[in-house]
Formats: sequence, structure tokens, C-alpha cells
Amino acid sequence: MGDNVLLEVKNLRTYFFLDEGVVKAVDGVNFKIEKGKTFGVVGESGCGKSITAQSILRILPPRGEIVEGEIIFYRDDGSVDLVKLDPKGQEIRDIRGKEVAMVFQEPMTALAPVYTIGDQIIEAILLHQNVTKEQARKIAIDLLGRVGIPKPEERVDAYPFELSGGMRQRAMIAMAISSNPSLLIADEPTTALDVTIQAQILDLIKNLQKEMGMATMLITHNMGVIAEMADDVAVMYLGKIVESGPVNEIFYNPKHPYTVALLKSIPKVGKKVKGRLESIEGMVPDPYNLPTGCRFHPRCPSYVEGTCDKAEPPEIEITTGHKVSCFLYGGR
Amino acid sequence: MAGYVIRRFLSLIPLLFILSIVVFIIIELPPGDFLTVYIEQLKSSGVLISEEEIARLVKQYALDKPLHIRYITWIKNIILHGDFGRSFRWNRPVVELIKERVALSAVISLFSIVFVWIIGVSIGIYSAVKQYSMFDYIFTFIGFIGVSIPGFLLALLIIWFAYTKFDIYISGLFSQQFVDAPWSLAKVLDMLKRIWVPVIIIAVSGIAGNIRTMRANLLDELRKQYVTVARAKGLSETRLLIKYPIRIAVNPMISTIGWTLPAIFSGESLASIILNLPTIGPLLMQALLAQDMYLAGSLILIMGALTLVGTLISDILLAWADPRIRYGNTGGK
Ligand SMILES: Nc1ncnc2c1ncn2[C@@H]1O[C@H](COP(=O)(O)OP(=O)(O)OP(=O)(O)O)[C@@H](O)[C@H]1O
Ligand SMILES: [Mg+2]
Repeated sequence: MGDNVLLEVKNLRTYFFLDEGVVKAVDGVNFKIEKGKTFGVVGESGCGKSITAQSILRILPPRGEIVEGEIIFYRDDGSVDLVKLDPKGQEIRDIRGKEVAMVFQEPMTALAPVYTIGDQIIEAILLHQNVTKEQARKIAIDLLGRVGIPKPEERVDAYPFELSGGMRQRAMIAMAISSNPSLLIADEPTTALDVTIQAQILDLIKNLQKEMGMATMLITHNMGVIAEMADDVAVMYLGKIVESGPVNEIFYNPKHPYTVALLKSIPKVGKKVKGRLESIEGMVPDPYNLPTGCRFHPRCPSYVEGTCDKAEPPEIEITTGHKVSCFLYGGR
Repeated sequence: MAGYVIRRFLSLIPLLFILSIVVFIIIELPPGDFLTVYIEQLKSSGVLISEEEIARLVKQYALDKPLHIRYITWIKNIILHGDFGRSFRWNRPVVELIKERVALSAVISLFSIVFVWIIGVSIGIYSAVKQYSMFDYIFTFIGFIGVSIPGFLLALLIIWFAYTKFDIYISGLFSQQFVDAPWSLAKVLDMLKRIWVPVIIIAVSGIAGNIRTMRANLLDELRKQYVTVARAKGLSETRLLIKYPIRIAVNPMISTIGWTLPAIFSGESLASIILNLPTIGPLLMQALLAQDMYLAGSLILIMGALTLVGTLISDILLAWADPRIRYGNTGGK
């Protein structure tokens, strides 16, 4: 770690202030992303993965607010706390799309229907690079070729609805990498795609990452994807990271009962594939009324009455870089 | 695109044909042909009409011929000579009556349409972008009231208010001395002084409607992923809003632009009747009441044709604005 850190998130809390109450979507999250590495974030739907990512870029939906924490982005010429920037200001806008780019979950709706994909990619290029329109168009065509879109000179003028989901996601990736970002945030980039295309897109991201030396924050609910792609992993549950560490530690030495349950839910060859993480008992609790103590205790097989429901477990470092928040490993 | 425009144009022909048949039936509906009624009317007022004159009219409108010949003569007169027949109530050619009023209808309507679009759409955009703000709450409420109050009620309220509070009687488009005066600068100025009352009355419900539609459309669009994507690119908020969600939210409203065409022609009828405006709307009502069928039929024919043409214009505009429609892909793959 140390000098190689690209992004450091400290005690991030992002809440939604709604009429129905406060949703603590992200509630005290800490992690670091190293240069050139893949940082995987995994967890069930609604645990705050996307909101964490959107907090970094400061593109939260209305009523979402960062109430506490720091997001330090390290560059060669110093660091900047993204939380301190004005979300509509020039400074964060220069970072968006240029130094930190994002690929989204829904390729079907991520591109505006009334402009060609070329138009939307060229727009991103012109925004961050000092080139003419003609040059930007050439760059866009080149990018489309690099992400594996056949006949890029023609497809550059295609409208999103003329492309398949997989092709749209490739176009999105082309747009995201257009200005050589140092961090690519991929928020479930393959969830909406067919299985065969999922693998292709993941391969594409992996290769581009190698070529360009960018770091990736890969968000998914699929442990299999994590195993294939990630260097480091954070497991999220209801707005908190319950366990994090190098990918091998998480897979071969999981500590948190939630991580263990997630790993059990990976579909094995020959076994019938069920829905998302279905083997975990119980429902994700109501976001307005989070459980007291450890948030996982109502579903936890190792629940200790009087402990887990009373206090929040502290974060404990098991081995170097492998951290877990669970009373089973101390802190009682 | 060219193919689409041509296809739509061709589809207009059968529609116009059907419209003309329907209108012709309406004209023929009352018992007795218009000439008999016309002669009766002249007789009762003591004027005698010559045999030659009757014969000329019978020939002109093919009144002695069977139905289909009458239809052909009627439509030929309209298309070739711009002759819509005579209004027996006014005892003048229908065309003259329409010409007299259409300019005023258009002026009032155009004024209100400009208001409706500029004010309605801007407030709608601002409300959506600043959702949950005080501004949004206030205009959502006003919009709600605006669409719920019928134009005629608003017209009555304003007349009553102006009369009781300021002792002004708002009626008609001109002061007494100008009603029958020929057009002059003074008459135009006089009209401009009075025109805002009908314009506001007619515009209120339109503005309210546009606020609601624009706000709802834009709120839908603002939630879409592509807005976040555009933001994540580093676009400034204003550029982003104009280029993406606003541009797309306006599309469905384009399809209503065409319908304003007949409205420009007729003016808002109810409010015009109450305010006693010399526009087309009240003319149609009077014609229907008096069974003045050539006049009524002509007005319906023109408004129907304008609706068809307006829809065509809307469709072409929409296709021009939205590639999904231009490419014949309405559902999305
Ligand atoms: N626009 C919003 N308004 C209110 N609450 C929101 C909004 N977006 C997210 N939330 C809440 O924040 C929490 C975290 O949401 P988030 O989108 O980060 O989940 P996620 O982990 O990305 O889930 P998924 O796997 O379904 O994408 C959820 O409880 C959700 O209800
Ligand atoms: Mg998500």
C-alpha cells in the first residue's frame, strides 16, 4: 500500500433525507484503492454499493448527501478531498470523465436515445481534451474499435437503439476510457447482459485495464465475478463494509458470517443456479429501521444474544490488510 | 425521412376525403335544402326572388341533381373556386364571413400560444429541476387550479371582477367607437389594450397544462440513467439539462403543437362567446343554432382539415426531433 494509493475513502456517510425518514445508504465506510489494481465491492441489492460510487464522483441523486467523511484522490501533484468540492463546480467536473470515469449498470438507458453514440462519445472527448471536432471523431472511432465494436466508422453514427445491449455497454466503456482515466468505476457493468456477453465485457475491462494501467472499482453482487477480476475485495452489508482484504484471503479465509454465506451462494458447476445470493436466510431489513448492534445479527447463524444486538462490532485486522467487523473475532 | 414525409402526406388524402363526406352529410342533414330555406326566409321578409336567380343558384349548387353529384359539385366549388357556399342567415358567402373573423382569431390565439409555450414550458422546467422547492410547490398548486377552472368560468369571473371593482365592462375586442370603424392605427392600439383579457383567459389553462406536462415529462427524464451518465462525463449542469433531459422531455409536447392549428383558426370558443369576441368560435355556435348549414359545415370542414394537417406537422416535427420515430422504431429493441 502506502505510496500506491489512488483513492482513499475515510468514514464516508451518505444519507438520504426523505419524508419517510433518513436512509443511511452508506454509513461509515473505509477503503483504499491502489493504482492499477481492481478493487471489488460485493453485497446484496440495496447495501449501498452504487451510492458509495456516486459519492466519489459527487453525482448523488436528489436528497442524497454526504454527511461525514473524506474521499481523498491522490494525484502526482498532490491530493484533493472530493467531499470538499462543490458538486456542480469546475474542479469536480474536471475530474469526472477525465480522471475518474464510470460505467453504469443499465446499458439500455445509459445512452440518451436521441443522439448517436458518436455524438455522446465525442462530447466527452471535447470536454476533456484539447482537440478539434474532426480529431475527436477519429479518436471516437478508434475507441469503438478498441472496445470490439465491428465497423466502428459506421457504428459511430448509430443511435443507441440500433445496438444490442452488449454493444451499448462497449460504447459506454469506450466513452469512459476516452480520456485515459486513472480510475474506472464499473457499477455492475454486466448485470443486465446475457451470460456469454458478461464474460466478454469483463474480459474487455480486464484487458483495457492492463493496457492503460488504470485502477478499477468493480461493483457486483456476483462473487464469481469478484474471484475472476478483483485484487482486493470489500464486502458490504447495509451501508457498512463488514469484511475486506486481498481476494485470496476473502475466498480462502473468510471470517464474517455474511461473507461465508455469500461464498456459499456462488453457483457451482452442476448445481442448479438460483436467484441472487438466495441461500442467505431472511430478508434484507427495512432501510428506515436498521437493526441495532451488528446489522447482520437478525440473519446471522452465529448470533450471540446480548452482544451482537447491543453494540456495533469494531473493525479488527486479522492479517495484514484483512479486516473484519464481527464480535466472533474480538472486541466484545 | 423524405420517404416518411411523403408517406404521411399520402395518408392525408383518404382522411381528408372521409372528413369531407362527414361534413357533407352534416350539411345535408336538416330537412329541406338550403335554397328552400333561403327562399322562405326572403319571402317572410318581403323580398321577392326572381325565377332566374333561383335557377342560377340551383345550377350552382346542383340542387336538382342526385346526392353524389351534389357532393362533387360542392367539393369542386371549394377546391377549384374557394367557394364554400352561402350563409343564408347572414345572406353572404361563407368565405367572406370567415375572412372577416379569422385574422382576429389568429391574433388572439397566437398571442396566447406564445404565452402558453414560453411561460408554461419555462415554469415546468424550473419546477422539475427544483423539485420540492417552494417555487415548485406554489406552481404545482397554481397549475392544478389553472387546469381545473374552465375558461368560461374564468372569463365570467374576470368580467364580474372588472365590473364590480373598476366599473369597467369588458366585452368585445374594441371600444364602442371602433367596433364598426375601418382599420386604423388607433383601432389597432385600442384592440391591443383589450386583447390581454381574452389572451390571459385563454392562456391560463394552456399554461397550467403545459407546466404540468413539462414538469412531469422532465421529472421522468431526470430520473433516467443517461442524465447521471452525462453528469459523470463532467458536463456542466445547465448544458447537460438542455442537451439531454429537456430536449427529450419536449418531444412528446411537440406532438400537441399541431393541434394548436385549428385552435388558431377558431380561437377559444366558450371564452370568446362570453367575452363577445368577433372570432370564429362564436360564429360556429351561432351557425349551428340557426341551422346555417353551409357556414357550419364549412367551419367544421376547415377545422377538421386543420386538425389533420396539424397532426401531420406534429408527426413530421416529432420524427425530425426523435430518431427512434424517424427510424420506424417506436418500441425499442
Ligand atoms: N434516489 C434515492 N432516493 C432515496 N433512497 C435511495 C436512492 N438511491 C438509493 N437509495 C437507498 O440507498 C440504499 C443503497 O442503495 P444503492 O443504490 O447504493 O444500492 P446497491 O448496493 O447499489 O444495490 P443494487 O445492487 O440494487 O444496485 C438503498 O437502501 C436505497 O433504498
Ligand atoms: Mg447499484
